[in-house]
Parts: sequence; structure tokens; C-alpha cells
Amino acid sequence: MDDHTIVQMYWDRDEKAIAATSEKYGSYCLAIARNILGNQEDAEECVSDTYLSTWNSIPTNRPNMLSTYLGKIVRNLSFNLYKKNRAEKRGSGQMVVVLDELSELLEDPSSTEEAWDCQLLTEAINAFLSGIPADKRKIFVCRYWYADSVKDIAKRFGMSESNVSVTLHRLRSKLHNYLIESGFEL
Amino acid sequence: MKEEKLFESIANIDEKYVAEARAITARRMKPAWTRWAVAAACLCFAIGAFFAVSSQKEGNRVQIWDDSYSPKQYFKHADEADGNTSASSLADCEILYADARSFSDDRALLESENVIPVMDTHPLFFVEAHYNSDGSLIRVVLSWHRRDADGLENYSDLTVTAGYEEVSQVDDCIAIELDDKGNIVEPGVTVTERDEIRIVAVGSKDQKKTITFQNDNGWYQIEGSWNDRYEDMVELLDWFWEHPIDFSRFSMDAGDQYTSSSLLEMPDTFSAYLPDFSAYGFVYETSGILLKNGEPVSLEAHYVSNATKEQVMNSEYEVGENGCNTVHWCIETNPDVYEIEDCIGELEDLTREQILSLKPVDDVTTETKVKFMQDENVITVYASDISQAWELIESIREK
Repeated sequence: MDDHTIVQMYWDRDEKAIAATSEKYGSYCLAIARNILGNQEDAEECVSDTYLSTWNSIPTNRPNMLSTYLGKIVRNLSFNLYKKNRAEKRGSGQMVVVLDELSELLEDPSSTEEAWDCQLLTEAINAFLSGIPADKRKIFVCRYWYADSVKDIAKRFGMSESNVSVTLHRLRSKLHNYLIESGFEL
Repeated sequence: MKEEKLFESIANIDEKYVAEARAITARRMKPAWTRWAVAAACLCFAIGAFFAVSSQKEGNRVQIWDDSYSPKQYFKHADEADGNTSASSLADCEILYADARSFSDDRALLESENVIPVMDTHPLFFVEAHYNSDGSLIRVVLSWHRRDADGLENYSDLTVTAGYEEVSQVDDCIAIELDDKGNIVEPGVTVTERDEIRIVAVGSKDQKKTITFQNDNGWYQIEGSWNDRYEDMVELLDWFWEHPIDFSRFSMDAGDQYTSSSLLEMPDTFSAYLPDFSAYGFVYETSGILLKNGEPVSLEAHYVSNATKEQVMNSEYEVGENGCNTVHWCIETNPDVYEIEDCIGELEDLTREQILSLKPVDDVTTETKVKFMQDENVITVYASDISQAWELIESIREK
């Protein structure tokens, strides 16, 4: 079933929209949630919450790309649950390492981020991504959007794990320099 | 925390980049696991694929095979796909398995035993077999590949995945739904009944395509890339139809086991083919050694110059700006024909002028690639400073 038809089902308040979403994107959402949370039970809970959030947000939204719309919701929900689990000392997944890698971009991780305008930050990251080769961009997005493991990224792109690690390190360095030049205090 | 804010900001990047990262691409020549995966317990979660129900034009009925059946007929309704029907690969789908073995070196033997067809048009051949923890076979993945030096005209990836254990993803590939008029509901899917066996074909001329069936011997899927012809896929189908796989040929104890290590654990590995990096101011960063049945067969190692050990360990260096340079040194003892073709010459024939005239691969890594033969090995060097690369290459010439 194409995305347009599924989205219309939400607008028509047809409850079969959720079944159609689950059928087409259930595995996709589960993979993202599992990457972040590291366990099946929490991941399934987040995917269920994703369907509810989607039902509540369409309408008024009418996404063009349902996969990324759902992906963003499940990513955010999973990350929120990750933070909750961390406070309760539960869970695993890729997040500890991913956040540790992202902290390398920061010159003073302990300082507050209040000065950051998140929208400007996203725009800067978009501009950075538009300027790098597509294969490098995909690796960056797989790691820091999808929270894929280095092993899975290596398998997906037919690279060695050490090559993926080094590529990510160099991309982080490049992004760090780009954000500094763009005026962000890291 | 700031890194959390950064992670959250990345959530809102342009959705086209998010979609791009998950787009299906042409399969790599060498499946990654045969080079670097650890062959010990490997946990993969099952991701199923199944057909969606949708409205369907009339007329897509199960076809009956006969001796005059053409390859195109197997894909008769391929052009009716609605863009959401795509072929699901049983080779690529994630199936839980406990161990893996390779039989890629047995091509000539497998051909002589009639386990696989002779395919002289495809220089590369790989076989991976996956097993449960008790050693029973889950699936065997046989693949044949062809590449051109330039362009994609002769690009080919043909794969046969087969097994005899029940695998839910197989059911998903061969299950079909009929409407009340007996028409297949899913657009773009063609079903042929041959010798009372249902054969399901998905995918069209310029897309990845699959042919899947299950009989008393087991289940099989023939997969072709966007550039592979129906004729070539049906040739494989016919061959395995007449020559069912003897799965006992792929028992775990008969295959090659690949494991991985590093220079930290095996510091003397390939010492005759590696420069003394420290003599040129390089610090070790990371490495990966692939072992076949415990013997090293390939290596990748990364080094950084003009940086301290602590800087390298903490990734606190910048290439180029304060004089740091990187070198990525790769050794392959079993190179394929394309890797050999990609070499610029033998080590003893290389000249400084030849190396310094090479251009960088891209502008992210700013590295230049030098690929050459040494004995029967292919050495690939990626270096951010090409004159330093020449010094390192010249030093092993004198070993």
C-alpha cells in the first residue's frame, strides 16, 4: 500500500491505517527503537507508542514521506525512554557509545547548551551534510540518526569496521570545524 | 547534556538524507562478513517481509508451466508493480544464526561435483552457510558476481539462497493472496505452477528481482540485480530444479571459519609486508586482521603521523592542519581478479614520479590510493600525504 493511501486513511480516521502502517513500517520502526534501547520489550513499547502518536498527529499533519515521519517519532520516543532508563540504570543499545562519540565534537561538554538555537543547529548540520559525498553522508546518518552499530554499518556498506570507525571519526572532526566556523559555541 | 541536544538536533535533518541512508544499493562485490565478520556466535534479529494487500487489475492468474515457457513469462506481470511491491531477498534478510562457514574456495570442486553450475562469465564466487547452535544448516547463500573496470554495463550479482529448515521469511516470499475471481492480489507478482510446485517471481527488468519456490528438497530463491536478465535467472532456476542441492555438502565441519583479530593481539602478522611506521613518525591507531581457519589472510591498519599516542588514542588530532597525516595500509593475500586489475604495477617497478602523480580519492578523507602487487598479494595504501606514502612503500621494497 502506498504512503499516500495510508496517510489518507489517517485523515479519514480509518482505524485500518494503523494496521497498514504496522504492516509496511513495523520492522523499520522496530529496528530504530532497538538500536537506541537495546532490548526488544522496550523497543516494541516505543513502536506501539509511535502508532498512537501518529494517529494523534495525522491530521493535522500530512507527511510526504511516511517512513521518515514515523522514524522521527520512534527515534524521539525511544531516546526519551533511553534517558528514563538511564536514570533508572536500565537498558543498553548503542546510545551510550553514540552519545560518547557526539561528545567528541564538543569542546566543553559540561557547559550548558542554553545558547544553542536548535533550529539553527539543525540547519547547520543540514548544510554540512549537503557538502559531503553521499556515501559518507549515509554512514553519518546511519550512525547518528538511525543509531546503527558500527558492525551493521560495515555490513551494509561492505566496509571493514575499522574503516567505518575511522570515517566516522573524520566526519565528526569535519562537523566540529564546520560548526565552529558557523559560530556555534561547542 | 549537550551531546543529547546534538542527537536531538540531528533528528530534524532533511528527510531526504534520512531516506537516502536506507535506500537499497547495488550489493558489494565481497559480502562484508567474509572479510571482517567474527564467525563466532552472531545474533541477528529477524526482519520479515510480506506482501501487502491492495486492489488489483483483473487477469493476474497462476500460470501453468510447459516446455515452451519463456523466461519473460515467469515475470509476466512484473510491469504491473505499483512501486510498493519490491523483491525481498532471503540472502540479505536478517535470520538468527549461531555460526557461519565459507565454502568460497571450493568453486572448482563444487562444479566438478555438480553441486553448482559452471559460470565462466562470472569471475567472482562466494558461498556462505549459516548454522544453528547445534550445527544444523539454516541457509546456504551462493553468489556469482561480475564487474567492469569502467561503467556498469556488465554488472551482475546472481544469488541462490537455499535451505531445508522452516524459515518464516520464505513463507512470506511464496505466500500469495487470491481475490474471489482467483486473481493474485499483489501487483507485479507472477506465479507459475511447475510440476505442481508454486514459483513466485517478483521484481522487474531494471530492479532487483527474485524467483522463490519450495519443494520436497527444500526452499530456493534465485536473486538477480537490477542489471541481470530474466534469462540468466531462469537458467539458474532450471539448473537447480534439475540438480537439487545436497545440503550435506555444506556441513559446518567442512567449511572455512573466518575470525578477526588485530595487530595488538598478533603484532608480527605480515611484518615482511609492513613498513616500520614508527621510524617515519607514525603512531598506531587501529587495525583488523582477518583469519581463515586461524591463519591471517588480510589486514587493514591505520596510522597517524605528528601526533602522540594519547592524541591518537583519544582521536584528538586533525589531518593536515597541524601536520598530522594518516595512512591506511591494507594487505590482501587472496585478491580477486578485479583487485589485481586495479593494481598500478608490481612493487619493484613503482617509481616516485608515478606515485606522486596520483590524485586523492575524495575530499572528505583527502587520501590518495596506491594499489600494487607484492609477491602475490595486493597491497592498498591510502595516504593523506602522497610523498610520505612513497617513502613507506619504498621502505618495504628494501625488506
